[in-house]
Amino acid sequence: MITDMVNLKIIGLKSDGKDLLEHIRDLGVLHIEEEKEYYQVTEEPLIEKMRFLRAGVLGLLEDLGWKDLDNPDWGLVESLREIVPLNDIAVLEEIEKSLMEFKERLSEMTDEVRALEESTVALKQVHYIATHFHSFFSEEKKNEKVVSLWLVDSSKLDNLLKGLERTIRSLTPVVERPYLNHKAISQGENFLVLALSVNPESSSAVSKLMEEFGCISYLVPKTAMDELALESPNASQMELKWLPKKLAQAKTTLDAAKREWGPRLAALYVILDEELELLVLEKKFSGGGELFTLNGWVPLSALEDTVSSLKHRFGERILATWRAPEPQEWPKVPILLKNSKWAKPFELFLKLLPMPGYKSIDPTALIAIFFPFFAGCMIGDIGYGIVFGLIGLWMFKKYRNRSAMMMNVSQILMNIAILSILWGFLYGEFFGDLGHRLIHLKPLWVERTEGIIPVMAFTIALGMAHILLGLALGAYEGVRHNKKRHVYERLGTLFTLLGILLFIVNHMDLVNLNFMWAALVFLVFGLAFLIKGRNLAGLIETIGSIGNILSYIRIAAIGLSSAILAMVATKFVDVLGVSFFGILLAFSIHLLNLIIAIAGSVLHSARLHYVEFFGKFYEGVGNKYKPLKRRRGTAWKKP
Amino acid sequence: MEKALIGLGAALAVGIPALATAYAQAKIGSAGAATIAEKPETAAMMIILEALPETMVILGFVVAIMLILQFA
Repeated sequence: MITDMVNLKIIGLKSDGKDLLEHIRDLGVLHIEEEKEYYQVTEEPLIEKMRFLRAGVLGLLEDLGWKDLDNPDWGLVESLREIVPLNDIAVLEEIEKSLMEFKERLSEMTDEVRALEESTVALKQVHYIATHFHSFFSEEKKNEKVVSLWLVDSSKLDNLLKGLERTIRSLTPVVERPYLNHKAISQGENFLVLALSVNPESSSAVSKLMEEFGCISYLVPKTAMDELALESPNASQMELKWLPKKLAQAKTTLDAAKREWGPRLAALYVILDEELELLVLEKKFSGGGELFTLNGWVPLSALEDTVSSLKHRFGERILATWRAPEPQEWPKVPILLKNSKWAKPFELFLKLLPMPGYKSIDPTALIAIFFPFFAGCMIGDIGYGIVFGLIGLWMFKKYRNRSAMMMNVSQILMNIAILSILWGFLYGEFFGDLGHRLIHLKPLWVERTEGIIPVMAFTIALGMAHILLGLALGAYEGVRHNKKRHVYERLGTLFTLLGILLFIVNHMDLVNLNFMWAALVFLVFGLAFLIKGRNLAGLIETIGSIGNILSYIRIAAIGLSSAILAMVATKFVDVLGVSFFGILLAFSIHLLNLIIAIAGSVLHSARLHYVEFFGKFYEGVGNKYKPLKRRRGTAWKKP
Repeated sequence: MEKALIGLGAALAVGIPALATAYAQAKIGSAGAATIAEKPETAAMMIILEALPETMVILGFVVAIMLILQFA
């Protein structure tokens, strides 16, 4: 249900402006009508400073990687509110200064962690190479040879060595023996590190040739160690021992800073955001004469309390007038959904869409009925229902008073679980055919894997009912908002579909009555309305609606695949016997099926609502109700 | 032989739309992910668009069931 709203206009003395806004913020019910000027107050230094500071705090929270954004310390927020006078620019400058200092410290800490992480990776690589080449280095250096390291393309190695031999032979005097020794280690799939040992006099020519072959001189990363590491693996091993300890220490320091500063910065952000909002509003009303006017929207149910509270606080110094919104104002009236406890969690589905328009239909209650029904029909298994119910219960306990969204999800899951159990009895399924095998569980209606046609027919009938309901709601919306074309179009489609339905019922002799004339009457009226509404384009709408109805067969299709997969799981025990491996495989497939069942049923039920059902009547043209209030609850951080 | 052909027909009735759906969903999915990254408020619309091509497989499934039940 969409809450009735009242336009409330408050006229008062400018000297009371700040107090009045603070009082309204404490009441937390007035949605102030947004005007362009609200965003244009930029010339005020205090506001600019506060905006700059707020952005800086948010940036620091991001840098800090503080994850607990949904649950700031409200006690800390309250104490900061009391002790920090944010309307003093000198205080803001002090805060800015200390934040800049913290930012420098933070970047030093993060740089240290990053450098140590890079060093660890590089040193591990050096140690690996050092261990491999250590004996080669020692031996060759003892013989006064020059050793160099190269990164070489593996496919070029043979040609490279032949070229080196030729070059060294040409450089070596005839009386001496040419000298070339090498050792290699693979580095990735296509490269290798090649250690070359040559006489000192041929060293420069070898380097030149290596570069001509496109080889890169392999340099030990500076961050790891100097070249000595290659000659002494013990040195790199020693480094590797203390480096992780140093890294852990740096990370501990960073985490401690995160724990200490995260809640403080979050609390500072909250009070800055609140104060900024109030300050901008106050400045907005600072121009003109001695009076100011505040215009906004209040839920009708909260009007009496709001007005009496304002009168009690400000007495005769303010004048409050209120009126119901005129139809031409409906597009700008903020929307507040109000649903019963059982339907409230399903408001989540509307959060993904723009809000419905004022005085239009809130489909939450209908979603609360049909969504679990469809999802339950797809899952249709007592065992799976019990598992989902337990998961829902666990989530409910875990997130109680912590996350409103997760609470809603848990309640939706429990609704789906209940309907899954009920459908499970109708299909006679408990973890597939396990119930039938163990306790001879019989279906109350039909076994899905055997009687797919009745289930498909039922889902089409269900789709027909759902779409007809959507069309009826669409026609009602058209009447309410005086959109004649909508009314004709929806009624035309509705009557045409009813005509087709009656024709089918008559043709198949499903009922012992003759519906031919009634079908013809509906078809004639339907076509007449369609042509009146959108000419021939209306017929396309009807064909689209038939497609929408057929789309509900997915309930049977997904249900069938889920039931078959559950049976396959049990079959593994048949094939492999009651063994550990058989039970493990059966359990794994049931687990997979559980995930597919919940993901598939939720996604497809949502799609049936969003595409097929909402397409017939829902128009997301409303604005969300956002009253001026102190930051509370979870959604405190603005994007 | 006749039954095998019916089975093949039923498999093709589901398989070909499944391939087409997969192709369409891959394209829509990548575009949708990019859109949501820039405009998170379009999430519902993207879910709807992502789910739209599935109707092809559902109708293919119906044809396959009809084939098997009528002729096999």
